[in-house]
Amino acid sequence: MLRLNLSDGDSVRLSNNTGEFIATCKSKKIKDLPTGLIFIAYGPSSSRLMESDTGGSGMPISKNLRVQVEKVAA
Amino acid sequence: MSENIKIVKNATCTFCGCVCDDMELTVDLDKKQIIKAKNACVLGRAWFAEHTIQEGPVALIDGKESKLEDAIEEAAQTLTKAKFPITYGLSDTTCEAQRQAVAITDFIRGTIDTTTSVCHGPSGLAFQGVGESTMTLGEVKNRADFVMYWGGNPAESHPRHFTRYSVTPKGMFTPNGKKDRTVVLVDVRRTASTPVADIFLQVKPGKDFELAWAMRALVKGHTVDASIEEETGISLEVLTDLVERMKNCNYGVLFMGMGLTMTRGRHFNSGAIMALATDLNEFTHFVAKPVRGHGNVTGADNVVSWQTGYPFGVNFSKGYPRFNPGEFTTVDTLSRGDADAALIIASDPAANFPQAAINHLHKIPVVSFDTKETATSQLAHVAFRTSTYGINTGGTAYRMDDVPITLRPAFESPFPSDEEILTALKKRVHELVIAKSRSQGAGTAKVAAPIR
Repeated sequence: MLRLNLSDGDSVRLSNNTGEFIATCKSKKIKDLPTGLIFIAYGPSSSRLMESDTGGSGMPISKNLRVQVEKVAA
Repeated sequence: MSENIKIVKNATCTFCGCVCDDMELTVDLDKKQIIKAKNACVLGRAWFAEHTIQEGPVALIDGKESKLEDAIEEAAQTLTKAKFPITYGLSDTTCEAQRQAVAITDFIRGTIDTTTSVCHGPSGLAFQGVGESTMTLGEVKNRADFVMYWGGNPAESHPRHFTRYSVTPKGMFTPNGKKDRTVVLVDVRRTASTPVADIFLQVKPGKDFELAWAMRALVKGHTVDASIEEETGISLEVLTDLVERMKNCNYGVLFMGMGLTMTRGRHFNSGAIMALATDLNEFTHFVAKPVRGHGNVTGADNVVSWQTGYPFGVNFSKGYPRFNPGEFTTVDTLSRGDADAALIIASDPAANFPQAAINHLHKIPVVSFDTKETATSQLAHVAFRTSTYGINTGGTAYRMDDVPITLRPAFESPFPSDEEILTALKKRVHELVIAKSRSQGAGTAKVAAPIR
């Protein structure tokens, strides 16, 4: 968040090739959530970023998704 | 509080895969509400408190109130007219209801899949590939002195897993509870579970397979390069110490979370953990088990397996069951646009599937079963409101260690159970299938035997 000049409560657009949604930032200590990682709960928001390709397994990749982070006006 | 109070002892919480069967429920029968759930965790208390009786129609057709019989007829017509109908969900209902859903799918030559495919389906594939050294949670409680959670956060997802089975309970060979155990947690981030662990390994995201494979190499006595730290985030020194502890424990257990199955590697990750447990049996007793989410997702695996031979992703279009994850699993059948009707039971794919799958659900007729309004019931052509298993209806649910548990309901609901509606739907579907078969010139020998 420091690198992107973000503060608690800021709105960011999380996007990838599949979709996007707007989230609200909440900081964590680096030892708890390493640099470069974002945690969001599984549900309607994360669905927008999940590709439907299951690689022949039935399971879409639902964690470790690569996303772009962009600050947006609240 | 009214004076019409009932106490239900040894009731079962069906919120998560722990299926804790030591609940003592205090029920206000006048208000039809559970007012106290002794022994329940925070999730269980919310589960019992929130499942009250809400006014509403038992069935909707295109959002309009319908008689139950009319909705069953419409659902049966919808499913039998479809060319590629799918059945999905089943993890929050009884085994008895699951059995009816399998029969319906068989009659309509459809495809049946459960929430397992987006849960521990990859672990199921790994199980078929490498086998599983397994156990019951009772064994863990009484014997395990080394407990490792990989890719999960049970403190928040399964709060009583620690206290009832694996970390703090005093067992036959673990009389001092947590003092007799070494608890290890592997995750990409610190969670509420981390403070419980004696050893925390913060693995780099997507490097679970590499870490597990390095541990397998160390167990087998091979040399592992120090660059493993750069690759996985865990030093060779820490790994070597950990593997020695695992080899020298009396009874070790590896619990697998969805941090393994939902990320890069999927079934290879689960397979590596299962193989690691098997490797360790050269030195001591070691087991591995997935930590299952929904209350009866394990039952869904068991019922679909004993009815079809396969646990999920089963297709009946040729008249016999075929298993092919990636082809017959629901994310795939929806995202590719194969399915032309869907029977969704006790799950909410419209809320948590990939967007492409959700988009297709909006295009096809959906028949939904749920205790409450959900994103899926809102888009359904036919939506049934049913009673809650374990609270309003009895039956059987499987704990995550494949132990079946009989449910003791607390109070009656005005809504029918999933099993009751599915049984009626099965009967009508069967009639329509027979009529269609005969209209196409089939004799009685070609149609299914009368159903019970």
